Amino acid sequence: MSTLRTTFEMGVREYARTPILLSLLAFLPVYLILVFHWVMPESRVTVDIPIQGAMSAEMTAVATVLTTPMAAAFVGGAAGLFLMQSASAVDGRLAIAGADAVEIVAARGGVLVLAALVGSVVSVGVLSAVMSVERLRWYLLAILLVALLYGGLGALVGLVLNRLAGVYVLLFGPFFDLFLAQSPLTDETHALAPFLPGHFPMKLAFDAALTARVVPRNLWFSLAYLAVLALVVGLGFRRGLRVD
Amino acid sequence: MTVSRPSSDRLRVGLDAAVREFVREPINVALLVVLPPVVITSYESMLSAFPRLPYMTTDPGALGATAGTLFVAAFLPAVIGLFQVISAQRADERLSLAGFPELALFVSRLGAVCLATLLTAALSLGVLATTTEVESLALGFLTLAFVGGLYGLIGMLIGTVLPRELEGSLVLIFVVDVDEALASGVIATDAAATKLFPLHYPHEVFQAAVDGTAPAASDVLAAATYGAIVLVATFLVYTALAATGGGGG
Amino acid sequence: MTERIVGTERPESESEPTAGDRDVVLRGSDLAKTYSSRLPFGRSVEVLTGASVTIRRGEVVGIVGGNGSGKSTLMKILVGELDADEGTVDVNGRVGWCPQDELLYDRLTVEETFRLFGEAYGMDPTEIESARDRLAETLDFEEFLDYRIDRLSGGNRQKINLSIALMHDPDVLLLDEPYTGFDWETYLAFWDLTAALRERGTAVAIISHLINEQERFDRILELADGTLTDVTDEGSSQAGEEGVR
Repeated sequence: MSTLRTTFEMGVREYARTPILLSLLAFLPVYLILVFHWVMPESRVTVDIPIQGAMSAEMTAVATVLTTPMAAAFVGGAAGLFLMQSASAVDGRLAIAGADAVEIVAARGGVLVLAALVGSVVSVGVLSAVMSVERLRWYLLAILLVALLYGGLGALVGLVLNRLAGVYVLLFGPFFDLFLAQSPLTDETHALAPFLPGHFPMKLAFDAALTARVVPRNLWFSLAYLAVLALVVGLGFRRGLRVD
Repeated sequence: MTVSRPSSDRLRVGLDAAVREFVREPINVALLVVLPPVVITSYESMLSAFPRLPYMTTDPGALGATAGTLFVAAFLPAVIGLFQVISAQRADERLSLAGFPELALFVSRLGAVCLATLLTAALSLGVLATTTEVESLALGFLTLAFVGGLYGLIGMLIGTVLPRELEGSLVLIFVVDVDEALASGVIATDAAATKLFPLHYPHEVFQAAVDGTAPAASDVLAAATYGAIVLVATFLVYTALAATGGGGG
Repeated sequence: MTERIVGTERPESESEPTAGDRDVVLRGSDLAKTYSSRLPFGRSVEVLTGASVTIRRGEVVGIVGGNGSGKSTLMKILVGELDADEGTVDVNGRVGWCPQDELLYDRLTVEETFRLFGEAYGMDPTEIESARDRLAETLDFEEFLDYRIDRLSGGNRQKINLSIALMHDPDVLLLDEPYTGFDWETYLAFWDLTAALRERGTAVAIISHLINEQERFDRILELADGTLTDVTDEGSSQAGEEGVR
């Protein structure tokens, strides 16, 4: 337990000593969300919200609700990708020194959760500055789930691909999933959309942002998706440490 | 004794080394070939589920195919530009100290990006042509190659200013995706500021190539001016920072 | 996949250990390793073809070989970082490993690096502090304890790399090109440290492409064509050509 705490603490310290990265984590969500909020016309659009069906909403609100999870997903995904890429070789030495592989995996997972949490809080904070959502805590939870899911996917990509290929995937993955496949601008669900990581948390996000009710089932499905992903990444990372 | 060599030799050697470095990672080449069809068909398929919204200029599926083609033509060279500069930074500093002219170094890096650009542009246009009738293939190809070069330079610029992979990649992801989402026509925009984004004018020109209409001279001029400014800015920043070891990070 | 036996246990098939065997702290037997290409028609490189090595308490063993002969691969297999395709590794005691590439967390300070690896070795805070101060004094990096690893010079990073391998008083120490970047004083301090370790019964295996002073070693093994040969008594004739100087 003590090794887990120390490994986690050192992981956080490593992140905390990257001032440029921390500035970017704060600035980039602001940029993404505010640009979309700014360029949207003052008009209403019909959107399809899971719990309510078709409803009319401000275009600016829809765009802001849509881009906030994208910002969190990019931050989480990049954190996951580079966590795997940068630490795994040295983590192997730590494991050979005697650190428990499960504790190393848990400590790295903890750092990833922290990065996803920061990305989510910053993103939702920016959103809160320009609009108010109906159920803020549920919305924040949905955004955190998106960030964690993409953090896990980033880590998975980091385990199997190199950095350049990982960045390719992160460039278009969240964009396709969150911006196109889960868009409320269409009432027709693409055949692929339910299998994508953003499906359930985005349903939760739109319900929480634009209506007063949420469907807990979307939370359970999101958590199940996350649990499977975390298991796969954890096992893959542990295998990479080459200890039994 | 130092023997001075013609600059064209140095350029060729530099370009050759940059290309070899890239292609010796098979996954890079595989993705360069695989991603255009995947991205374009996915984009088109996703948008086919959309109704034709009032602000959309064309059928959503066709809009998706066009936007996806521009997207892939932009982001593949952008990532290559970024990693070309970051991964080779220390070697470039050393080459510069060994007497390799900064201009030759810059052109070598840019040349490798341009080769990837041409390949991506041709592949993307080929994929698009299988589902959409592109009226002017030549203009379409030129526009995609321009977009690739433009974003390759932007990738190099980001890599020079922020020579760390995580930070540089994060910035690039946000820049490319915001630009693409705004230029795609999937959502309505009404602010004049959207015209300041790199893909705005090339998107107009590319749409004209697909439709077979003459592109507006103002769009072509604006895109060319944008490209020239980015080229000069990237060259100045690269020679000031990357090739001389002055980059941060 | 390497069969790896850690601790005092022996495979059931083996007979009772002799007195000499009881001194063995590390044994690699018939190790084979080939790096295969990821591409269908790419070249495979056969690095080890049946290398065997036995290291006993209190001896200093040099393992030499030309560039690319497989020295680092052998060491990675011995410490468990890499699996061999064939062969067994039998470890009897604690292993300390100083890799050729400094595997250290760039943005942690020297003090934090000791804390983290000390925890991994199962040391308590007092033991960690004591080991850190002792090694900092011996290898002369006391003034850098608050420095981040990525802000140290190459030589100082290598001192930390070596110290991390040593801090838990291992029974066998595997060092891959350990004195790269050391200044002369540190080089001498390193050998003083090695002599003290030998006195205490610690086995030390040093991998290097260049061995300057043969008299410092009890045995010298040469890795060539995928196997290890004892060249201690061959002087400089053969070894001179193959990298033992």
